[in-house]
Amino acid sequence: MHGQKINLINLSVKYGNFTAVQSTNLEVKAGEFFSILGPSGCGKTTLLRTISGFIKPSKGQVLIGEKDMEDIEPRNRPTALIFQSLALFSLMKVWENVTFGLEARGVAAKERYKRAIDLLDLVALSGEQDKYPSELSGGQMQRVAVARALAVEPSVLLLDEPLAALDLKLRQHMRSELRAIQKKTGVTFIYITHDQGEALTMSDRIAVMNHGIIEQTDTTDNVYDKPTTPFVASFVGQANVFKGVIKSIADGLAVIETVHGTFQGKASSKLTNASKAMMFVRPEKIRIGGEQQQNFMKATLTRRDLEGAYINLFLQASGEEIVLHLTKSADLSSLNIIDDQSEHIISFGSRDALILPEGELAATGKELAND
Amino acid sequence: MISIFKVYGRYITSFFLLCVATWVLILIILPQIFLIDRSLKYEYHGDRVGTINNSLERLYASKLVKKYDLDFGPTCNEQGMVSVSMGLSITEGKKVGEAERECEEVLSSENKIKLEQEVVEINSQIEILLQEEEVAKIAKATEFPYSFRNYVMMSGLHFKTLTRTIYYSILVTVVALILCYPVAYVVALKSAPRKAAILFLALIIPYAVNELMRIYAWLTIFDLKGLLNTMLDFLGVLALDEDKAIVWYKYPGTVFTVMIYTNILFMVFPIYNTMSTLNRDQIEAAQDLGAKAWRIHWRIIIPHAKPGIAIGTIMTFMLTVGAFSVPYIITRGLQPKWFTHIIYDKFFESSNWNVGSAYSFTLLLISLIFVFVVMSFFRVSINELAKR
Repeated sequence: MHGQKINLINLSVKYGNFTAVQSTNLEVKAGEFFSILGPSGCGKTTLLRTISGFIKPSKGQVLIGEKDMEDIEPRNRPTALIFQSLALFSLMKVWENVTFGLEARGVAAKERYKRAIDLLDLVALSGEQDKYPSELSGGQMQRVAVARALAVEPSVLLLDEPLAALDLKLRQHMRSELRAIQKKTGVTFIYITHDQGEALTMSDRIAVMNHGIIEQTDTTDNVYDKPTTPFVASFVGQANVFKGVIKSIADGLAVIETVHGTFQGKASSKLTNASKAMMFVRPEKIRIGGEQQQNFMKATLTRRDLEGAYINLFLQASGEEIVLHLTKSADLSSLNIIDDQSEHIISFGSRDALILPEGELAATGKELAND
Repeated sequence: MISIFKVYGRYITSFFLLCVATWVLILIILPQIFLIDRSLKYEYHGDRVGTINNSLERLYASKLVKKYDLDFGPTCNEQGMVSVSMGLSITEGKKVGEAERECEEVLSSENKIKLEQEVVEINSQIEILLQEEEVAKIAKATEFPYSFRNYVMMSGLHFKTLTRTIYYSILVTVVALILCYPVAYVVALKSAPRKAAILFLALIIPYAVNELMRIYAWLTIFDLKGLLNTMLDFLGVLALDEDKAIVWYKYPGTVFTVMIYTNILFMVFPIYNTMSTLNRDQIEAAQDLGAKAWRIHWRIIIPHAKPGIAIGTIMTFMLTVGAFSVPYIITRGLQPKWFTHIIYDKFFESSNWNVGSAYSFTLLLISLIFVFVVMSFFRVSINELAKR
């Protein structure tokens, strides 16, 4: 099995008047674990189905391994799709499921059975070949779906949120397993998800998508540390957002004036003086105390949640909520943050704050819950 | 049972149980028992009791005549014979009077004695026969009354009608299946939900029309000067003016067509229902894995729709085999009868309920056998059918 690279060139998909995917250019390298991350309805599934051939692009091209895929039907493309619903054939046994693609290619039953056993070995499902899908657990069904897709030796495996239905523990386990299978087979994986944790843990690179547009394509580290748009900054990982106006820009640092005071942070190249901007600070970058710092403010502690390895502190400043993470090992009592409603000084370094031109933010949990 | 009482309360549960019991007992079990009982009793008038009865009736009749003659008989004796004309005396009153006057003088005492002797003789014969009848009746009562004679005595013609009915019913079922499968597929799996709803409505609307009206609609097509012939005339295939119209009612194809039309929905719906529960992703997954359309149907859609296909097949066959109005109205006596017509004739034309019962029970048995054959063919169990 050899992964192939994929190029999307000026690709756009329209449903009537609605543009699901807007003129997109993307290159996925051969043998890469590539994730497309975005909220539901952002067009990521459309993009995946366009690559698999179930949706015809309104404009632009899909190239797989340099070859134009126009007029090539899904069944003749070197891709295999893993559905969100898994779409296992419920009336066929596991081995028949796994080798259905080979059956379609006219491979004899005996040969197929042997092949099924090999493939089930690969996904750690030995001995389950004669069961029906309904007799398997969620994680096992997952693996059958993967084996079934790999059976046709695709160059590209397209995965449409296949872990969404699993519980947390199993999901975490399946992440590492999928990653291991990808490494072992060398197939190009394109993985669709709305779960940033999933994308960050598994992928080599991520494309963050919103409203049919890919906002940023980069390595996982860069997407987290150097987001280029407010949406990416707020969608991938948690971030405290401070809105304000740029006062000055110099040496890659900008000064922004907000309701909490004036702060300094790393400037995005697109910033201009006196323009509206947003400053993003990750919760783990904020510390308690530090008046001597350039960036500090006063805030009132309203709540503290224990998350296991770390503690979430919720503070209120000028009517805005600020979140910060403290590791459990930190000496909490010396920081005097036991009492609620106590006032504290919080601070962060200039290099830990990122200032971007104002733009759309990802919906917060509260907004999602109100939807 | 107790759980039902708990859920629905005492009164509603009792009411429902009563309804169900009434339905099962009075509308299903009793008529069936009655039917089977009748069908197993052979009605035969040529046995011992029957012949004695016949002789007795004959004797009673001649005794009556002789008594009449003795009392007021116009017993004319011209050739030394006793001639009786009761019929004449009733029908033409005037002439009777004349005859009486003519013959009055001829009534001799000799004849009177002869008649009296004959009556006595008849009486003694009746006595003997009555005794014999008693014996024969007792003998018959101890005899086992049931036999399969009603079942095995079907005439060649009736048997031919039965096989023909079954043959055509199977054919109708097969053609309906071939027609309905693609329709159900398109509505259930190929159309967007909105469009599917409209198509679905279009399927139902014809069934809002009364069944007879639906059949009569076909008469306007198949009539001598109906749509079909007019169209053929228009196309120049035949000439209506020269009385060269095609008598469509003569051909089995017409009954066949109308039969398919009237029953098609009962095939479409069960198939549609099971098909629409198939996750469309399975079809796309199969496509993605390289399967061609026929393989997707053969391996995924048909196995999934199997219970629906089985129900549709069974319903269509049952309705066709038991059809009455379609063949009755469409054939107009120009084609052999449907078996249901023969059953009807047995019951209400020749009032032989016993044979009628046997015939209808035969039809029922054949239908049941068909059900089990279909179910084993599709490898569908009763449980599976009930689930859908």
